[in-house]
Amino acid sequence: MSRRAFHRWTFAIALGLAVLGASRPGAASSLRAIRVEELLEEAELVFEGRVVALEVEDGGGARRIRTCARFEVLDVLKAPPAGVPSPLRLCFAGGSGRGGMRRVEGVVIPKPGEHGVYFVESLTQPLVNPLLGWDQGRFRIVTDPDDPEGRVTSADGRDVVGVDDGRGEPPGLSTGVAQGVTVGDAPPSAGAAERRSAARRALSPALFKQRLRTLLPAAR
Amino acid sequence: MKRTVLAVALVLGPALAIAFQITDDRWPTAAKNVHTGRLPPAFATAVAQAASAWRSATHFNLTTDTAVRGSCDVFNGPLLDGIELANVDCSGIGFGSRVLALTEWYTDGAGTKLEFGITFNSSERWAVYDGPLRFSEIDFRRVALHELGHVIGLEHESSQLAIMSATIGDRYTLLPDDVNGVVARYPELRRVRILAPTGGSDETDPLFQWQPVSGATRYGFRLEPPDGSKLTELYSPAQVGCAGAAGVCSLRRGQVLLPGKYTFRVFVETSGSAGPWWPQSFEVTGPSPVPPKPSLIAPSGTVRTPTPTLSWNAVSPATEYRLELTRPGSTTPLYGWLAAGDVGCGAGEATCSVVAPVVLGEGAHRFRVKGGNGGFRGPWSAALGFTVALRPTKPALLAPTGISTTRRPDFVWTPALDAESYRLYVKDARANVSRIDRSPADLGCDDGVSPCSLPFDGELPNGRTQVWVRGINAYGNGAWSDEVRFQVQAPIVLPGAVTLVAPLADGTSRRPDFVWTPGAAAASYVVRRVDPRGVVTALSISASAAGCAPPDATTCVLPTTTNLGFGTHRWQVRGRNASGNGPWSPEVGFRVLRPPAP
Repeated sequence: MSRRAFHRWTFAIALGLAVLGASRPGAASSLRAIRVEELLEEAELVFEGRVVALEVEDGGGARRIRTCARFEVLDVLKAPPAGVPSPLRLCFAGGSGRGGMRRVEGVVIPKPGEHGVYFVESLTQPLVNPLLGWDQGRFRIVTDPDDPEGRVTSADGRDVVGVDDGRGEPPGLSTGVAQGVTVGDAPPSAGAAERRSAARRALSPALFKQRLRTLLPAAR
Repeated sequence: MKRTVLAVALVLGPALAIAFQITDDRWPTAAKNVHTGRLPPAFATAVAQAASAWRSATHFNLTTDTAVRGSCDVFNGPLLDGIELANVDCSGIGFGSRVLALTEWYTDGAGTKLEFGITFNSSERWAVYDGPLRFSEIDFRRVALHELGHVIGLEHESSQLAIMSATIGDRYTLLPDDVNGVVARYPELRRVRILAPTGGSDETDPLFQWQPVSGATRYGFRLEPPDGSKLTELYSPAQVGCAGAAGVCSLRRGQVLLPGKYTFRVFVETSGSAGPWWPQSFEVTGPSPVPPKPSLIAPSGTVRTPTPTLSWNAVSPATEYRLELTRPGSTTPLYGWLAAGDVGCGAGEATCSVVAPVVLGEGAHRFRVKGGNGGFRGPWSAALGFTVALRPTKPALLAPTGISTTRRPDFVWTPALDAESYRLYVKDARANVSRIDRSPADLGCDDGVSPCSLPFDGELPNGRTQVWVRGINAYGNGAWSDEVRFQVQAPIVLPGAVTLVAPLADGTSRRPDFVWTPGAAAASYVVRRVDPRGVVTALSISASAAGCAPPDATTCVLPTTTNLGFGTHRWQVRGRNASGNGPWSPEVGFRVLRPPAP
């Protein structure tokens, strides 16, 4: 029996249930850094979407728990020839199962309602984290009453203020943000005024996607 | 679920403010073992070194062994608390690109970690080295150090330099933020900051002080003196004056410490879980309250008293001394504590002395002493041995030696110590033995210095003579002197003839005195008698006993002590001396008559 050949037992639970304890933003486990150019080139699917439901798969063995997020696809920047599955379902290692909870350090399972731009490494091969480069392939779109259009942040909540292809960056380890993405100086813990200042410089979702589309042909 | 939400809030709030990031989950105790037997030896060693770094920096007891257990059991599911190289996780799912290593764990859902597994990506090239990270081959050890931080319960840190930063990069050792994170996750590991004593101090009863720890239920206190012993005590915060983590915890034990280097440790117990000992070294430089080793003065050698005086050099700051006296044939020494004042050194005198507390017998003794000062006892002195000798010493005969031309030599010997009398033992050439007892005064040696001298009042026959002498006192006989032999070579002078004086005629007395004139040079006489029935008796009597030793004596007398039988008796006499016998006198007869009838 291989690691892949395990029996799956799936059950669903209500939205918001079970995974909040594993939803803290953070960088990946020990990962190499990835450039924006590589994200665009290697990802099978790049889309804007929103998490509409979470389901936990126990896998029949308590240690094989994974949590699958069902996405509403709002926009597609890059898609495989076969098209985008509907509904789009991406599974992350970890989650709460019967009698316990599995956690893979660095795998951040999106919360229900999370809205963002996602780079999916593979739509056919199950992976510990379906997002390419883990948090490096995950950008959140944050809105509030003062900013209904919203702004794009990195997975850990820092405002994205610029995007290029990342060429020329030396090899390194993941900081949680892909190389080529410029984030604002204000960390998530900064005060409100500082965050507003950074937000004024943050890219809107439209501008962010436009920038990616611009880079996409070059990546191909 | 409510619990989980609260946990997230707690983590996100304070964690961001204090830099290090900790998970909701922790091990039941601050300890975990990691199996490395599935790794190549060099990588297993790297993991052991990484675990040791965490252990020594944080006191989280992270250990390793070489049990052949990897990250998980792919058949049955459990995580196996080990590390292995693979390219899929414990569910058999691929890592995806760019993943170097992956740490996963399983909890009971209530915050307690149950199992973990670490998988290093086997598709990567790994090596072990310090210094800048090379991306062509990743340093296994620093990634292990990072992943073990996840095992303990730390998350990635982005705002502080730490090995737990997502980009460990050129850092390959633990940094303060890493340690602080562990302590935050495991409050029982909280460091106790010790304030005093530190460095050196002449304070012999130091005040121990440390910063209180919030939530402390007890403090462990340990003092490790230079002698390697350990004294451990437990105190409540109130007992050390820092209840409620207010003020400073202070402890003065009321015990004088000897000079030397000490280690003082404190641990804090919170919610029944004890943390590690936190050490602080200090040195006591004050004067020692322990008296040093005394040196003994006397007695040594041989003493001739049963109550000798024992003396030694006083040592400061002793206020009393313990005397141990071991007597011959006894395995149980006599012990006793003596006040310094009672042994003559209570006021700064240089020497202490005391008369032996018991009457000692003869033989080898030894004694030793140690000083005391309150509760402090100094070391024993070296033992000093001495011998008690009470009987007279062995005298040495000085004369006569060689040849004596007189039959009445003077015997001379050295005086014996403590002799109250002397016994001279003379064995002449005829095996006759003379034992002569005399006082030192009679011998002229009562001053203990002058030789003892004894004129022999008998006559020694010619030939070899052996002599011994010894002293005697109330404790017994002294040893005999060495034997002295000398030759008596005096001229041979036989006694002259004697003349019988009485009884020469018949008479009625049944107890007549036998009287004769002395023979020249006769030392004794033999009186030969034949009674009426023909029975012969020979009586020997010295000249002095016969009253004719003085040179001017005219008669010698042998009294008759029993009645003679009636009838005719005959008798004759001759003299004797050391040269031999004189001639018999003519035999004379007389009758003992019955008294006439009334």
